[in-house]
Amino acid sequence: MPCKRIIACLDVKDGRTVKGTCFQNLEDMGDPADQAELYQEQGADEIVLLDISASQNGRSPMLIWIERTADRLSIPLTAGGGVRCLQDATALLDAGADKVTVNTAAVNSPELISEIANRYGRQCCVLAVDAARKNDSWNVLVKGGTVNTGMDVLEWTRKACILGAGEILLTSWNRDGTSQGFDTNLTKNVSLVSTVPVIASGGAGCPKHFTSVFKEGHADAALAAGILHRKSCTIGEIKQQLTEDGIEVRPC
Amino acid sequence: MLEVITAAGGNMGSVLRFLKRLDIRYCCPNSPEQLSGKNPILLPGVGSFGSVMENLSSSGYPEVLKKNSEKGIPILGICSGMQVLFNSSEESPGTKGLGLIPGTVKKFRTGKIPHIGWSKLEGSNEYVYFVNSYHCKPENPKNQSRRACHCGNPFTAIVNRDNITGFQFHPEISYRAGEEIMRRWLRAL
Repeated sequence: MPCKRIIACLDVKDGRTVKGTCFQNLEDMGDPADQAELYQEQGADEIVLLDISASQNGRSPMLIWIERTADRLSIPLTAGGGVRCLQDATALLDAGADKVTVNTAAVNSPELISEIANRYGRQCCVLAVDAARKNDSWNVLVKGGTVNTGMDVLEWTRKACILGAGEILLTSWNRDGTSQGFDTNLTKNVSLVSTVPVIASGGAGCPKHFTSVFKEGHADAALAAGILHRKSCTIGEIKQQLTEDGIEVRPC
Repeated sequence: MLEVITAAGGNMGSVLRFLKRLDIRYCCPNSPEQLSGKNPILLPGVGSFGSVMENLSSSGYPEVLKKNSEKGIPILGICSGMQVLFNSSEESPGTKGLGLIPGTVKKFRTGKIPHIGWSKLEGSNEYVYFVNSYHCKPENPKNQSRRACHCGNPFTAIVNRDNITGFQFHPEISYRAGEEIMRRWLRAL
């Protein structure tokens, strides 16, 4: 398999990087293009840029931020937030993204996944799944975590793989911003049913958490956001820990 | 001057930005007639073997590329653009490839597919970014100039036969390693 990836994620609201807890209480964390470039130099394997205000307000993502960021990167860039139709995906790819994420709109009309996959190839279509624990299972949330669809996360993952999703970006709503570690149980369960790579997200607080999500959660990649923005540690430190724990990563 | 064929389809933005970043002079001919027959050719491709071949065929590229290749013009295919250099692919049975390198394209049989992420090129310290579900099998193993691994099984990362070269990975999003490999190809011309 390829190396385990560390992906730096920037949640963008009104042109600034923000970070919250359980998707709430947003704090300003800086300029997304500056940060993306810094993380690239630190050794990030990919950058994800999510316009988190988009879906809630029902407007198209801010293409200018994608363009500004893409101009400064030579690693893969994934963009998303508020992608409602094939045209939205096209606009993001034209602006310089290599892949797009879909979330709310894919739940409303799952054929959107197939449309993007058929037009640009499966690898271009990343399905973002926001998962909230409910007893022994997990439900799919949409609209920036504000609406619980009642759908089962594992069922949705299975279906999305068949429809043409190229990767699953799996965020634990319960762990988001808590620094308590990834939900390795959720990640493992999704990874078992997914035929495509799974990117774990939500809860990273220290380098050891990444080891757990790869070893116990069987993730293919892990997302880091707050842990980097708050400068709790660098990507280099995360990768050093992973190397010490016998996990292959791309050297910084 | 590098001539970039954009007709294969898919997202060309990253590739063109990459060439700009490296200060490589390029142009994008609109039709096969506009190919100079003198300059090296870059064939990026995203999408299935069948769709890339269909896009190329509908504009009449296959014959012109063959002629250029016979004249010794360097041709570099990237990703699906590399795969169509071969005769055929399991991805699109019945579709003929460009046939510039004898061999076929096979599907990965194990592990999670697509193979997405950074893999090391065997015999080097270079990590490059792959996104592929299929891999090229040249008839002549000597054409396999670099390999990478999927689930412990080596596959072709760089193919080379005389003036024809293919990169299975994406140099345009492979950070410094990608830039270095691209420069190396240009220097060798």
